[in-house]
Order: sequence, then structure tokens, then C-alpha cells
Amino acid sequence: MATFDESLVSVSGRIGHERDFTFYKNNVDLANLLQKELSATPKEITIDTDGDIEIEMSDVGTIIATPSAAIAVGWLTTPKVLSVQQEVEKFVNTLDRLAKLKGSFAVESYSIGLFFRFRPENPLNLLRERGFESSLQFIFSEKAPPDIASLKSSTTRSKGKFRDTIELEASSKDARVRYSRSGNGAGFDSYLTFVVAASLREMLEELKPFAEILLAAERGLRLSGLLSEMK
Amino acid sequence: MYDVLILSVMTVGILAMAVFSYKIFHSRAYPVGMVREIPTSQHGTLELEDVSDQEGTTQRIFYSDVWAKRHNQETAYGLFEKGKKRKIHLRFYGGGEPSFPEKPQGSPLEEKVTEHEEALKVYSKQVENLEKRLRRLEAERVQKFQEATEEEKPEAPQVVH
Amino acid sequence: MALESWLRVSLPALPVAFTVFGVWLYWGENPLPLLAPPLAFWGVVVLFYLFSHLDLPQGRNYAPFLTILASVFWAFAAITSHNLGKFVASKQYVGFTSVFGSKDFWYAYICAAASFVAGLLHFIRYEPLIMEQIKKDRERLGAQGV
Repeated sequence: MATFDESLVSVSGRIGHERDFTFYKNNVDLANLLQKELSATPKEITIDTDGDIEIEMSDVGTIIATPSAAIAVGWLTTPKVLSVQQEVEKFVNTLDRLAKLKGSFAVESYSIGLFFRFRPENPLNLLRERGFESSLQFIFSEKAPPDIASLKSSTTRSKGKFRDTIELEASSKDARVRYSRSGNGAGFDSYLTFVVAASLREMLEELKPFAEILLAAERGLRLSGLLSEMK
Repeated sequence: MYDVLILSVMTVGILAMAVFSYKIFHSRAYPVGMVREIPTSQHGTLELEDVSDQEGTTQRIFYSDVWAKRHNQETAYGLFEKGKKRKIHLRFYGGGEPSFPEKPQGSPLEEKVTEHEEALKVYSKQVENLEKRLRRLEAERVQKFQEATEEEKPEAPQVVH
Repeated sequence: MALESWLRVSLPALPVAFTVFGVWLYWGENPLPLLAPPLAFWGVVVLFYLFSHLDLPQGRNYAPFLTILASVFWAFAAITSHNLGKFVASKQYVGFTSVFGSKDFWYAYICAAASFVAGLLHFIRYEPLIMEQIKKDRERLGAQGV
């Protein structure tokens, strides 16, 4: 059974820059260049219907190039790996290279995000017990509905030079947590500087208590499942 | 005292009337708005054509200038249903064949502003779609990986009694 | 004078006609207290009609002032007619000529006369102009086939 350090986390990053007005005209050339520079095989590079370039990478997830951003999404790893600087640097450097290959555009923003998906037995009830019940009672004047189909919550806050967004979505199947941190491009020399300053370790530490509750509920479900199979 | 007051007021009033009348008699007077134009009504037909573009339908609306004088443009537009070519019977005032001026065009600046607004809308929509796509991509990757990991797990040992 | 013009002077004169034919001739009552206000009111209505159909670029402000003055005279005539009515009902009234000794009689009828005469004079001057314009407008519209 996975502990928090061994649980699955998806990392995403973004470098937002000045809009490249020639992007859609030159996207094919750029795609070829990226294929060469990032060592991606032809079938892994696609240009979608909007004209954005999508590259499937084995080690850092999916890279997407748009007129105003270089994005990496879906790097599947664990909190333990994220505590290793070199691993994080590999991810950061890939995204940095993509941004540079697109051209010299003034960076407007940096962003890094963590995504968890938990599957406890009854995610909605669990979250209600852990605090959302009072919100529902407040909204529905003490007559909170007994059954709900889904739950969404989004919180933003400013923390020093960063702006954090924490999103929680739950349904009857799973509970998803998204924690992203963004900063102004002018405040950092490079994406690596930003990621180091953002401190993935600190972000994980903040999420850990909440994640462990959900992981424990997941473990409980699995354990009861195993026991019933054994019987 | 009371009588003096009333007499004075009356005198002043009558004098004032005399003065005003004199002034009016010695100024030019023009009779206005004497006869209402109530012509006999005449039925006519009006054909609408709709011009579709990428964003939706716009209307090419023809209207008589007499109609436009009597109703503002919003009223005239409001009377027509969107998007269908149809004949409408209208009552025309003023008699004779109605003239159909084209819908007045905006200035080049107004057109540029409209174009810019449309472009912004398209851009916002693109950004919104991109965000949705990224979220979906992320969730799908995690879900696939988790499901794949579960399938690979060895089966629980069977206890034989 | 055209029939339309007669209509325009006759309608506001209905209260006067009622006082004369109804109150005096039919019921045999003294019309003196009741005649002054309708006479004044006739003047108010006629002036109002005339200035609603005339544009006076130079004498623009005089027209409403004249109409307001006529209304004030009508009010005066109405109030003093009430006092005249009291006089007529009293023992002091001993015949038609006795009213000339009553101040209220003079106030009422001077005010009524002022308003009435103002209306009459302006009507005589401007009604032909209005009728002429009406004729022209009708000819124009007739030519347009409307």
C-alpha cells in the first residue's frame, strides 16, 4: 500500500510568454525543429485542430506549444522523486528548451502544478465528514441534502511572490486535488529559479495531511476488498 | 383699502393684457400643425434575407424611410424573426412605393472595434478550451496509469480449507 | 367664417348658452351671478386654442402670459360672481339697476369682459390665418393622393 511519498502525483508546468503572432503560420516548421531537438519520433508529434503542437514524451509527459505558452503536463512521478533536485531539473530544462526553441519572447509568467487522484470508498461522504458538511448546512440552512453527486472547491491565495490555486473536485468515484503555484515572469531569471523558489517540497508538505487521510481511506477500502476475497 | 388693492390689480392686469396683445399683433405668426397626415393605408410586402456568418446570423433588414420615421430602428428590428427568409405584410404610410435604404454602415473605426472584440472573444474561447484540455489530459494520464497498475497487481493468495 | 371656425367659437360658449337659455329663460332665475365666469372662460379656451396652433417666433413669451392672465381674470370673475350671487339673493337687490351699485358686479364683469374681449380680438385676427393654412395643407395632401 502506497504511503504519501510513494503515491502517484502528476506534475505540470507552464512558461507563459508574449504572444507569437506568427506561430500558426510557422507551426509545421517549429514542429520539425522540436522533433529534431527534443528527440521525439514523428508519431509522437501532432498538430491539433487549433494549430497547437503536441509532443508525447516518455519522461516528462506531454509537451504542448501554443502561441503564448510552452506547457508540460502529466509528468507522472512520486513526491519522493520530486525531493530529488536532479529529477526536477530534467523536467524544468525540457520545458525551458521548448520555450527557447519557440523564439525569444518576453516571459510573462511561470507556473508549476501538482495533481493527485484518490479513490477512497465514498469520497463525497468522506469530504463531508471532514468539513464540507458545515458548508452545505450553511448554504442550505441546516437542511443539507443527504446525497450529492459532486463537489468542487477552488481557493486562491497570494503567498509572497506567488499566487496559489488549490482545487478540489470529488465525485462518487474519486477525489482530485490540484495545487498550482504561479509567479510573474519578471520576478525570476529563469524557470529553474522559479521552481526552486516555489519549493515543490513545501507544496507537498502542505498537501500531505489531507492526502494521507484520503490515502488511508483508500487503503481501508483495499484492505476490506482483500479480506472479502480471502473469505 | 381692499377695493383699492383689487382695483389696482385689475387695472394692471388689463393693461398687461393690452400690452401683450399689442406685442402679439405686431409679431409674425405662423400657423403650425393644423392638418394631421392621415392617409389611406396601403398594404405592401417586405422580403427579408438573412446573411449567415461564422458567429451567427445577421439580418439584412429593409425598411421604408417613413416607417423608420415613425418607429425607431430597434422597434423595426424587433418585429422581425431571426434567420428566416420570409414575407411580411406591412402597412406603409405616406403612400406610393416605399423606398428601401440599406442599413447604415458603421464607421471604419467602429468596424475595427467590432473586429477586435470578436477576435478577443475567439481568443478567450481558445484559452478556455486549452485549460479544459490540459486538465482532461492530466486526469486521463493519471487514471490510465492507476488502472494499469491495478491490473498488473498479483492476485491475492487463495486459502484452501 | 367657415363652419369649422363657428364650431371652434361655439363649443366654449356652451356654458354661456346654458346660463342664458337654461338658467334665465327656462328656469326664470337671475343669470347675472352665473354669466360672468363662463364669459371669461370662453376667452381662456379660445386663447388656448389659438396659441396651440400658432408659432410666434418674436412674441413667443407673450402668448402663454396672456393666456395665464385670462385664466386669472376668470378666477377673479368666479369669486366675485359668488359675492354677486349673495347680493342678488339679499334684500338689497331690488331690480336689475340695483346691481350697478354692487362692487362685485363691476369686478366680475370687468374681469369677464377683459378675458372675453382678449379672446375675441385674437380670434378675429388669427383664425383666418389658421383657416388659410388648413386649406393649403389639405390641398397639398389632396394633390399627393392621400
